[in-house]
Amino acid sequence: MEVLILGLLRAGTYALIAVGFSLVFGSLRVLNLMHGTFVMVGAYAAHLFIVALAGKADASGAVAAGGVALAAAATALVGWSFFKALQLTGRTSPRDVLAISVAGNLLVAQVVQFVYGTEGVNVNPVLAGGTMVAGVVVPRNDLLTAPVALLSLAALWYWLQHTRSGWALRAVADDAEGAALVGIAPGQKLAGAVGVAAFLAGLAGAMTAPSQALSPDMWIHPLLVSFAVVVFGGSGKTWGALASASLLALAETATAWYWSEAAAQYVALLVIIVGLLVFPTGLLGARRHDVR
Amino acid sequence: MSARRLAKWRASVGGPTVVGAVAVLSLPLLLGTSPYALDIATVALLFAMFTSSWDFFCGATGELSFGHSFFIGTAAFGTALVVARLGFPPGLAIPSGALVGAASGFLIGLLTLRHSGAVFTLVTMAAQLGFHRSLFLWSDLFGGEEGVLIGTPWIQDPMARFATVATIAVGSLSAMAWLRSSTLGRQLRASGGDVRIGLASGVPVSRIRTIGSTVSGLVAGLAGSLYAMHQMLANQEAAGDTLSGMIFLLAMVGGFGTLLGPWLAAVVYVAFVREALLGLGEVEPLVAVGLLFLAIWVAPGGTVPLFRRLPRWWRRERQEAAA
Repeated sequence: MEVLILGLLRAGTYALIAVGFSLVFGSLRVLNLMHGTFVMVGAYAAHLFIVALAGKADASGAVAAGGVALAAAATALVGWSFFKALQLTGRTSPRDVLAISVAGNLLVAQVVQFVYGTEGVNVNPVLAGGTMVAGVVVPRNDLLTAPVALLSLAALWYWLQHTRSGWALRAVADDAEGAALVGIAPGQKLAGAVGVAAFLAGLAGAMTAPSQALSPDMWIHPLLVSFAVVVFGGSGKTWGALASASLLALAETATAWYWSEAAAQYVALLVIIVGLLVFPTGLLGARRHDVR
Repeated sequence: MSARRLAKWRASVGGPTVVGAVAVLSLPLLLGTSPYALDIATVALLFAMFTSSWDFFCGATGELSFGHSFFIGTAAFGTALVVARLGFPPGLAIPSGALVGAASGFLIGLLTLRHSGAVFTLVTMAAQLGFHRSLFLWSDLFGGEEGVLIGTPWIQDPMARFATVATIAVGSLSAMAWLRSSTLGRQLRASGGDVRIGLASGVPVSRIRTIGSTVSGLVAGLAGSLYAMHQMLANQEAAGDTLSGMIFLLAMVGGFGTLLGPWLAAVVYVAFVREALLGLGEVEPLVAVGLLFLAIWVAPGGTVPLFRRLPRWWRRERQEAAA
């Protein structure tokens, strides 16, 4: 029971993180290695904005909520401008994007380490305290994260299904050449899609910041989670990402509960290494010549 | 040997070897021969082996590995463990470590046979993190945060140590340059382009990629073993993502696929740039990574090819001036 509840709570966050990664990969065939860094940026930005709004690290729930919203917006701006800058300077070949993204991760980690040090930074939650759910004490902030995640996923789904810009992105995903013929420039869509993905990742980072110790290497795990979710459940499907994120979160929670917290860190790694070994021609393998 | 083969040999192997030897000889001249200077020069050459072995596989196939410290870490811990637990002499411990590195390279070759691009990068990253996490999970064996200590230095005299590492560093560079100009090297390059064309031209892509990764692991493992012996310690840093990231940045800045470029970039960075930046204090890693990041953005092809273009540019300027 504990495993189920804690796992499902974690699932919301994982889905929120992974769906953006899956969106960018599914529509534009770019595996964005900066994605984990967006989660980290969101978490630290939440700290930054809450301190700026309240004048101190210890803030009320309403201020914390404002800080979280600003943090998500700031992360979206970071993601959008990074990929816009890549476009403007003509660094759009797959290898350049890959190389600059990897270097970018290391640079952002160094910036964070220089400003905040390697010590954990604490962030005030939007909702303080805990609640009993079916005999398990759950931090109320984590309870809030799950509906926020679901609402964001629903909004994303609505955007993709019912708005013109969402249609344009799906058109590119379907057939990039066809989309180009009707006047949608696939290259131009990248920064926008990454901006949306960064918003969701930043939101996840900011919402979960209170329940984890922030450190400059916290970008790695969300990146692996996103990738594992895509390996597991395919790409580009909003609800598919939610389903496979739930599976991954439950697997991690169960491993942590029945075995050890340290062993749980291997779950995502194993999904990536073994999953891709067993299904090399599956989700990613079949399109390997495009995935670069 | 025919004249044509001699000329080819001179260009592909002789060039890098001469440049490497000149770099090695100039290190003590520029840095001095104090034990501290020789220590820095030795570490610089070990880093050169790290980056050039990264480039041997990645540069040829066009992949970007973010897990090179997997080879270095497994080899460093292999060496430290056989010395600390089994009492191996250095002459036996270093080759054992190198073999462990080669085995890691073989494993990565098998795991990533069908992966390319960002998938390759993420799988190498996952493998490296898996080993790095294991160091803490099995801290009884690996010593956790402290690592595994090696009691005695392998060579007492710093100058002799530098000379030994220098010989190995230049030797491995020539060996890799030779391999790259051989049939194996050309097949490795073919296996990284369009796989279907590679297979159609009769290149056994799977086997060649595995061999290439094994060679890369062997050289990285040799350097990792020497690094552990030199530091008299194998700790989590040798298997960490910071080292992987640094190797990636330096190799890219040196010149992706040029072998000599990554080798020289590591020597110049560790021996001179990092030393100069150390005066900045805490901001040093940020400035260093920032500079490397800018270099990759501005010159994706690397800096060494830029220098190679200089003479041509110079000649053209003079011709235009004469005209």
